[in-house]
Amino acid sequence: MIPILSILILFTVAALQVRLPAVLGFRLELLPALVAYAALTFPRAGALGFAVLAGFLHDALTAGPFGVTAMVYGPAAWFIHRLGGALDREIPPLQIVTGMFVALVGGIAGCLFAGFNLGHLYKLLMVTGASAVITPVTFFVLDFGRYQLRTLR
Amino acid sequence: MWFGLNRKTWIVVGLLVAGWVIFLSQPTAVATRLRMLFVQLATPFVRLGDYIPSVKSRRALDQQNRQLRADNQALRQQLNNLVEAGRENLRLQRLLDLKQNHPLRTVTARVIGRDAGNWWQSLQLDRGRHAGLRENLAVLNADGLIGKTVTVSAGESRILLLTDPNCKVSAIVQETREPGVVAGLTDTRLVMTFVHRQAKIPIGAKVISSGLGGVFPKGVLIGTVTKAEINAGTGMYQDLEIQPAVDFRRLEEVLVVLE
Repeated sequence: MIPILSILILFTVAALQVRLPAVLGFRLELLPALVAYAALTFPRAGALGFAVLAGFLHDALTAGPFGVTAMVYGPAAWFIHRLGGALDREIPPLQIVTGMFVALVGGIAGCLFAGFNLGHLYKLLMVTGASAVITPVTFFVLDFGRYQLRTLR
Repeated sequence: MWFGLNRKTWIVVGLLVAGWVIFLSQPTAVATRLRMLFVQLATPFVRLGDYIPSVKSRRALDQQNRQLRADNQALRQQLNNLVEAGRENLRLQRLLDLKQNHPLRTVTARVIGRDAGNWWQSLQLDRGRHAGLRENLAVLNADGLIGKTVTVSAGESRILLLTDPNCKVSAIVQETREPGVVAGLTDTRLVMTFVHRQAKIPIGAKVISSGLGGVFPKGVLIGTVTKAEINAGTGMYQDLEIQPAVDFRRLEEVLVVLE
């Protein structure tokens, strides 16, 4: 149930990401927050699989080379998962830092192929900054959803 | 030992990552197939967005039925729909005129999604291989040139916009016939490079596609020149800054040129 639901949420969020218009010259990226959530919530294999899937989905919905984002989301999730064992996932600053980290490494990987310039640097900063807001909200919404699901059971 | 892993494991991980980079960054058949699979899986979710406005309307109508001013609200909604239908009709009429004026075999497609990332400028269309689309086809609308198709699956395709630096078009200045290459500069600006340094280019001159290269048809408007200056790096040619004729933020329907 949870894996299927997670994948459905992943696809829905990816679809939402391609539907959102650009704001202040950059496009909001929602997938890094999801990857951070999965890394701090799911077991290791689940977190890694989810992150790689999210990366592939992201790459499929861009004009960039396929597999680049998956390549960085996977290790990023694994890294966060390892750290997560020693930290409390409920702490918002930790959620913020992990979301920003995933957005940053995803962005750097994209820039490595698309090229670094001032415009991309601005977008990288904005996407990373936006993840600081999106990630705690994602944690709150998904944790609330999980709690409701448990209550229903 | 670092981060709980020994040296050998790190080497294996490093080799795997390097292999991944080399393998997946190349346009191999496996990577293309994988991409198509993910696109096909994601497209139904992307298309779901088309239904969100109608769901909202229904919900709004249900609420309106419970209110005293239901009739008034419904009529307003109908008026809005008519205005929207009128605008869509105008846009499609312009596309139809363009289709009739240009001796090109084209397919009309609707924009269903943007690029998921911030590093490339692309759009997703609702037409794919089934409609006759393939890679490297020109995409335009009544205003001018938009870009070219880069990945095409059975029922959808992705186009690289002119504003992406990787989308290069052979172009000429319409008045002076001065040739050059147009590519993306920023999200809303283009640059025409390799223009002869002695050429006198008037500000406001129109830039059109030259037809060279075999992807873009000749004579399609790209934009107007807003600035001309000698290339700062080499000093050997001029760079022209171009205001695109197309508003890339507001694309809804496009024409894909098949021949």
